[in-house]
Amino acid sequence: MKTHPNAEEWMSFLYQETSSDQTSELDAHLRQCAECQRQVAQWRGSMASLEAWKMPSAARRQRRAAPVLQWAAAAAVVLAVGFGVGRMTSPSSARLQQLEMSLRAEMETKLAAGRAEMAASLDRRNAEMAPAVQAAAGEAAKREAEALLVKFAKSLDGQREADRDAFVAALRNLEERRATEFATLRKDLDTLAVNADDGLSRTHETLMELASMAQPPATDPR
Amino acid sequence: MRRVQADDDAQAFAQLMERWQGPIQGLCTRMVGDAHRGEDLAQDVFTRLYSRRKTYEPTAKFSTFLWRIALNICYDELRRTKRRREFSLDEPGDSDIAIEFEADGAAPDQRMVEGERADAVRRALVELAEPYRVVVVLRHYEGLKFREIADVLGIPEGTVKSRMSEALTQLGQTLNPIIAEDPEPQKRAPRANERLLI
Repeated sequence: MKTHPNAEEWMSFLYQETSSDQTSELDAHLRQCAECQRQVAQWRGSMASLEAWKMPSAARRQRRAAPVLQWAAAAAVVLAVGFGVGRMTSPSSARLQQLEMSLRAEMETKLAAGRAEMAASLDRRNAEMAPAVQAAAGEAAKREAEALLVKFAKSLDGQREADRDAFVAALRNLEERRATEFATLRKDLDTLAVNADDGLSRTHETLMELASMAQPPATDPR
Repeated sequence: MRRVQADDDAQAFAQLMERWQGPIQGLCTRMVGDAHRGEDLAQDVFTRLYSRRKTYEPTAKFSTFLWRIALNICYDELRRTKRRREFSLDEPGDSDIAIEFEADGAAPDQRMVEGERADAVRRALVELAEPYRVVVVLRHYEGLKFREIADVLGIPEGTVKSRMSEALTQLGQTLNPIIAEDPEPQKRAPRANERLLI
């Protein structure tokens, strides 16, 4: 065997991942090597120390939940007892069916009678009220037609008034526009006349100037 | 997992959760050193598992797929915690961390001692560098074989074993003096910033 097994081999040994042959070999070395004994003892100490930090086990978690479970169990027992007592003291199912059937028959009979009575009462009431309803309907229709005519006439008058106002306003507008246009035209004509007059004066002056320049000098006939 | 992947079978997913809730929560709790945060992270793991169900290759081992998701979520959380600490005035380790430990039927003084030991282990684990911590958690607490850990982490099996030996050495240096001493339970009280949930 070699001098000392290395750390990797010891790790496999300590965590029981070695074959039986390797285990025997390492065991044999450990028995006779003080240095390896110290080293392995230190590692084992560390491994043992790590055990001090345990996680809560499932059993402990269950114990934590135990009060809740106890209450739930108690509630379930109470419910079960209540259900049983109820079942025991209640009538049998056959009796219940019989009761239900008789009640249903009785209710159906009463409902049919009530329906027939209500229909007859409605017919009588209709027959009694028919003439009055017809008369009232004729009167009401007449009043309604009159009201509609009055309303139509009023709306027609209003429409006419509005049309007349609109027509007058349009005439006034047209007249004002015509006056404005006349004033503008007159102003334009004045401007044109002034400009024409000015142009004529300047033309006259130019002609006079040209005439004076074109006159031949005076010559002696002799 | 195939039923979840192909048919979106809610019942099958519930069974998966029931089977894996404990191990995943254990991994998350021990990686971040906080039981309550571990619970939340375990929920995140199952949420992510469901959202990524279509990416699972049935040829791969489901447990490897799930452990990887869980570890990625733990690493994200550790990075966030580290950033928070960098911007915080608190000393590392002064955070309000709850420890939950078992003390079935033990006397109050015994519970206190166990609580202190559990806290010492938690602190020692949190102080380990992540590559060592993850190996310890997966091998020692979750019981994965070294070969399986190598698959999950994508590193050679020999590297996993050498990291494990180094982690145990470092833990021994921190923990053996604390665990070896036999404290007087009556004279010791929990520190003010510890919450011991019994």
